[in-house]
Amino acid sequence: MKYRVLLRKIIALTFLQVTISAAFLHANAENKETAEGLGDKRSLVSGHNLADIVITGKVTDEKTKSPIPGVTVKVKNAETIAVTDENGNYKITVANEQAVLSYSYIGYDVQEKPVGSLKNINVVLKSSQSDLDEVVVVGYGTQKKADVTGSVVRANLDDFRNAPTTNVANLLQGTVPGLNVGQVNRAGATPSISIRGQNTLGGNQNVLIILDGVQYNGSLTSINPDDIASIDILKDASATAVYGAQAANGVILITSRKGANGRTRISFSSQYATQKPNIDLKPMARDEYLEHIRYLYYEQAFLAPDFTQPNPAFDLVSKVDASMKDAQGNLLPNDFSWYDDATKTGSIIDNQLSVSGGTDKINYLLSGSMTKNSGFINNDVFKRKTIRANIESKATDWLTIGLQSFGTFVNEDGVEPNFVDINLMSPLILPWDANGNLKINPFGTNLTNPLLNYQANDYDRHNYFFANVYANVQLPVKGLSYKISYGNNYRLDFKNISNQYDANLTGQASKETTTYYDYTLDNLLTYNKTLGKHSFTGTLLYGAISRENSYTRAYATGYSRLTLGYDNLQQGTNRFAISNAYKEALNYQMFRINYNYDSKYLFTGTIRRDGFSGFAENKKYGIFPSVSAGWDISKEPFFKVNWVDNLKVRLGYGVAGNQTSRYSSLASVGVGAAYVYGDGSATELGQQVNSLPNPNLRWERTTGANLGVEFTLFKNRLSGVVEYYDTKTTDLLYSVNIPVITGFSNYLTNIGQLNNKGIELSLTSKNINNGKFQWTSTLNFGRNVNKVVKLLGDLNGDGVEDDLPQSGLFIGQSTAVIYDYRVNGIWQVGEKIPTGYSPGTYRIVDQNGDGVINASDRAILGSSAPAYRISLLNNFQYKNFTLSIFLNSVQGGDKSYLAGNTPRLIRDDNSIRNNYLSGIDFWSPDNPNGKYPRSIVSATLNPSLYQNRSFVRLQDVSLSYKFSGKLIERMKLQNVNLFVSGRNLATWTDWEGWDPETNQGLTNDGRPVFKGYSVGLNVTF
Amino acid sequence: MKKITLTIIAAITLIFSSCQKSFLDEKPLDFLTTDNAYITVKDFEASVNNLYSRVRNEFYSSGEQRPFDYVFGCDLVFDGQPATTRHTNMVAAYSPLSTEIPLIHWTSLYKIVAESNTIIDRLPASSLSQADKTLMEARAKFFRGMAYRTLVYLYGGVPLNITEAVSSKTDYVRATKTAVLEQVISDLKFAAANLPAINQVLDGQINNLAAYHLLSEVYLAAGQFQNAADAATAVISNPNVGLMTTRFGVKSSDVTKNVYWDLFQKGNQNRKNGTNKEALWVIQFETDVPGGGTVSTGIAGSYQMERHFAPQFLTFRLAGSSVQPFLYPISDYTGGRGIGWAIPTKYFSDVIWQSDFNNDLRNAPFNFVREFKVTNPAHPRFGQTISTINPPAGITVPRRDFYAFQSKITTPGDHPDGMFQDKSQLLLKASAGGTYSDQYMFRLAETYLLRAEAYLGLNQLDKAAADINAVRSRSNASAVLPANVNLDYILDERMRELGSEEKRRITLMRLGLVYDRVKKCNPYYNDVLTTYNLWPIPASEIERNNGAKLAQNPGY
Repeated sequence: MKYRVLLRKIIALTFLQVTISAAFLHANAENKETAEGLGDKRSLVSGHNLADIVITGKVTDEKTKSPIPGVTVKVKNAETIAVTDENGNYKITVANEQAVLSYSYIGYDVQEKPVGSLKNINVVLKSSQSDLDEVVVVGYGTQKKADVTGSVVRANLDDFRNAPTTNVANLLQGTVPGLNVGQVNRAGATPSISIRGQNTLGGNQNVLIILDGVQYNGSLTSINPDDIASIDILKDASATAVYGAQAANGVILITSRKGANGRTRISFSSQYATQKPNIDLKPMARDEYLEHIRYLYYEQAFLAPDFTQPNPAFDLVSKVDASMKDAQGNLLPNDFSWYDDATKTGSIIDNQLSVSGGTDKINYLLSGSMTKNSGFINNDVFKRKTIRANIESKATDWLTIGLQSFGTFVNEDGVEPNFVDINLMSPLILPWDANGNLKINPFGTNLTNPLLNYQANDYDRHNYFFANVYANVQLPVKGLSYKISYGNNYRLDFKNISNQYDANLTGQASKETTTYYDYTLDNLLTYNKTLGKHSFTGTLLYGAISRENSYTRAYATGYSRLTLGYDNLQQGTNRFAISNAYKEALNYQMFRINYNYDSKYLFTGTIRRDGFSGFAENKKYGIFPSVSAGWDISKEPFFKVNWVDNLKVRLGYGVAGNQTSRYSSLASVGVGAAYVYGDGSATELGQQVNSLPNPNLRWERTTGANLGVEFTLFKNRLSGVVEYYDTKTTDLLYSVNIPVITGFSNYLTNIGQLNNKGIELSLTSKNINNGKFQWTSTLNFGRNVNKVVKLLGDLNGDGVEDDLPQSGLFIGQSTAVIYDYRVNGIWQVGEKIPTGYSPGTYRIVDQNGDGVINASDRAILGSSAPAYRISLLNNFQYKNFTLSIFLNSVQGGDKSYLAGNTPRLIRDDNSIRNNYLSGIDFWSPDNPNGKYPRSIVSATLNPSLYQNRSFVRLQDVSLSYKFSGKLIERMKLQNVNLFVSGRNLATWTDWEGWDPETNQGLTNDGRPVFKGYSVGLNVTF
Repeated sequence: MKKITLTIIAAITLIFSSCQKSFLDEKPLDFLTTDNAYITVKDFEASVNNLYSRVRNEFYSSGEQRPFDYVFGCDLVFDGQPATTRHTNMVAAYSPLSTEIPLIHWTSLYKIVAESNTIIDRLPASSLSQADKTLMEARAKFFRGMAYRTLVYLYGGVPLNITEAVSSKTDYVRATKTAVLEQVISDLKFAAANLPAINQVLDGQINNLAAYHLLSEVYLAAGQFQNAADAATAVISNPNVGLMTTRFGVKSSDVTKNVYWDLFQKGNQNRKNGTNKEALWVIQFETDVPGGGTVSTGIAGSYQMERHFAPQFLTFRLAGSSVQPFLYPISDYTGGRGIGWAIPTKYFSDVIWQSDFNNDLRNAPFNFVREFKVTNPAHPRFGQTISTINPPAGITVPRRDFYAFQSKITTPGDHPDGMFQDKSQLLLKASAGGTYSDQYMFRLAETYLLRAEAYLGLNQLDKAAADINAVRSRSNASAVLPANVNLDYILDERMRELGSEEKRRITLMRLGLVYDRVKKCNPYYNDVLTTYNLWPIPASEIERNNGAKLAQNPGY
């Protein structure tokens, strides 16, 4: 018996060794997978069973060697599923030796193993994140991350997918150093996006967005976040130069998902979220409102000379606006909150369904989604439906054809009440009269009731259609392929509205249509050649883009009845029509060569030529070259530092451009209705020159160097990237302010030089990683310093470059410089106050000490740009739970990230009548240290108080639970994931007002940023 | 296989080379450029039409405040609600740093100059006949002359820019006041000589008499009194014009009114083939027609004279009742929807009328409204008359919600239909406040007063008195004796004849008398300084002009 066991052991071991060796060789050949299992004696099992084969094994992490619980083990083309236990062990039954097992776990590459005669299959999974084999999109091609020589970063989407938001840009907020994404405060809105510092003065500041290889200038709101597989960001000029004249502001490459070979995957997810303001800021209620009127009359309401003792004879009621009194002259009794009436808790309901799959010949993804986001303000509603079909087929050996397409249908029907007006309505006035009808002019002024907007019949739709068809031809020369792609964008926007209260209550209806179409036709030749350890890739591009836009608006006023609304404009007495349109075209060529020696020495060279219809007649084409190189030092034999696993240095230098906008070099003559001679006569048209021509207007050139160091240390415990860049932009497109004596207030031209320097750091640390508990932290840091070097030159001949104070530009300062009067407290009652000022107005610092306050007392007070941005992501995994916590911060220090935030009251009819935000620290004689000015008459100068916007925000928290076990197996589910998440849960800041990030202070026209909580479920069959 | 290869390579080559050169040509779709916009007569007419629109905008309709800079801060009215925008706190209002008063008018007037320059410079290369070229040049020079005349009064010697700007220019220097006036005279002489006669133009169009009228005024500013008298005579002696002495127009059958009243009734301003022979140049307002200026759907685009000059009766209460005595807003002789911002000085409402209070047609109760009937049936004094002359106990006059004003600032009963909340009751909507009638830019009565000023300058007091009396006798006012004619008298007469209609600042700044007249007639603006006889050059303009130094006016 003993011998038999021994014999079997020997046979089994030998067999196993052979198999593993084979697998090992195979893995080496693919340079991808590693199979292990040698020496794991425990796992040896015995026994043949022809009917069902029981396979057991253990799944471990490649780097930490620790077991991974919760891995889905699946038999391909069958329905059997198992999940690894706490120790990473699994047990699964397969039908025969031909079966293939697939191992998948979030954050790891999927691995497949043929069963063969094995009974024990141990698998090592590789993390898909920090993997150097990761492929990134670099523009007109992809590259192994390890071989990239420019500054290219793939965004971490996984940790943020559960956030309660509807726009993909919000998922990127704070997650990539150098990528600056703003905050939103409207349902469905797209935040501002910029990359690194400001490279331009007056030119376009938009990041170039490429969707599946096609330029995309539609709203990001049109892209279903769930359809996105990856987002790559090109930051430096050497990386962006492939996009030439449009790339100076950086490039974001969005790649949509596609079906994977193998089993069909049906995925469903659903999310519900609430949205509430993250700050409790409301207009004043009755008592505070009435007190505010008292203080506007402090010189009567309080006793002279100090005005701190109340004057018993003062009659507050006599000062209150007539609209707030009844027929007997008494104050109305109400304490009504217009704010509460116009707002509610917002919500997001999001449902996603997708089906994907593929074979060797074809892969596909079909998806659909429905999203509804109701904002915090009534009628701020965003509804979106999306459908997508991505299909790719290997038609023949040499031809692959494919289609990426989507349609997005956005519905923003309904008009929200004007929030500014909501905030200034008096709490003493009700929106309705005694009969319950809305009052038209609550104050008796021509300000209409903001709630009348509810009466509008509003049809507000945005339809986006995208289709990119492509063909990839393997040419008869080995390594040479040709790809042609034809991307099409079509947009159709409708804005139809009718409201009986519009047009001075005579009723107005309008129909508005915008159509937009563009196509991108790209021809791409790619040649790959490997000679031993040398490998080359050459890419040649020839392409063209054409865009056209057309807008029509017809409207009518003066309706005796609006029953038919905007669908019958002929019912209106006065009818009008407006239209406009534009066309523009681009034509470009690009050549790129990539060379690498053993993935150790890397080189990329690019040259692009751009032609654009919007370039001035003398400057139709621009040329943009770049070179970059990389060196993987850790691959050198001489490099023997134990604690360094990987070290790569890369250096890039290149030129990117910023296009002029269309028609901007022309002397445009605007036309329109001008005058009517004589009573009852017809309209005569007029024309006027609106801009000066500039036939030499050219694109901006941003030339920059970027130094990057990528490293992995301490047995993969710590990895990161440090980047330093230094760019200069010349030929800045700038609308120089010129004397209006010319008839024009500015002249668009190319001037000066602007430098940007910055440092970016991204660090990921695996703090704890044992089988049960994992804790990973990612820190991102970015700082940019921007400096104006040259403007118009030295016009006054004093040997120093001239500033442009009128435009707020100064040599040696940032473009975001704040040049203004410095405020030093508030003039108090009893002080000797200069003419033009009075108690309660700001005391302005006499910078030059000449005893007069005038333009020469402006000084540089700081900058509105941030000093640095920093974010920290902590990700915890315990058994099936994943918790991620993301803190994001923008900091300014003493003199940066400043913004004017100055509520100010000067007594007049409106300031007495209107309501303002509650709790503002206004000055009064009995509040001499009040922060904000309040006076009886206006001062000569009313400068702003610049305040710091620095903040730290608990931006995203997400807790998810991945179900495992028998139930899941029995239901034949691949994945079930339940989550709760929160967004903008807390904000720490000294900023007073709506929100520091949206730069909205204590003003009636701000809107709150949302704090959201969501619950959701993802199910994959 | 080889065939396929060839086909593919051929196709690629074709695609790579198929881009046409014209692909990148730029042709705007919805606007013209200077290259194709100055060729035909229609092109130049469009440019001239725009100048009319810009003049209307500058002097009447650019918005709620700026057109009234020609009235506030002078001797005519004071501010019912203190605000910098209505010249209270003159230091702030006229600060060179202000982006409002000094800058906005400067910008607007220089735009008129620039558009005129473009027309003049582009005429030679156009396809126009010689006659059309001369006509267009005369029109453009009229507007350029008018703009520079306004600039030189308001700011003194300003930079002269008389060619089209085709590129940036930042080295302007100030010309002397004399040089600017000479330029204006030269432009207006050309215009006067080449513009059509008044009976040969459409209503609202400039003509040779409008040019002579303006030329007369500018000669006065230049101290060329004989030329000024001659230019005025060219107008006055023209048989196509005359002072209106008999009832005329749409409401001439209303026997309770008089001819001076007829001049200001809606629809009566235009010449209409000689119906109104007094009008020299009328600024056109047409409601709900593109280019017409006003709309019945809001106050925007209108001349907001009613809003400024009429009292804010909304807040007015009489002792003994908290009920509003006057319905408001209402299209009657309480003034429409006024908010009491421009209150006539006592000098304007009382002092100047003393000699002929009861006989001067211009002071008739329906022309200078001083008494109001209580219109609210709910008020205990319903139907009674409340007077500003003998105000009820506890009411001091003038106050923002109760004062006397000229009825020509409004259009009682004639608001557009869309402005009525209830037309049968004449009740208006809260959006009312615009004055919906055409406006006289130049009227013959003023030409007489300009010539009187010229004769005064020539020391021909008899002739001066005769011209003033021509105006006075039409309104049944007693004649002035030559010995009593002086500049103050003429300014008072202008107040009586033109009043709220006048761009008072133009007159006072032309004469350099803002300070003197405010001191004499308007105690409200107690912070007036001689400095304010000119506005400052906007500080931003000095900074922008970085190739040369633009000198600032003294005192700023």
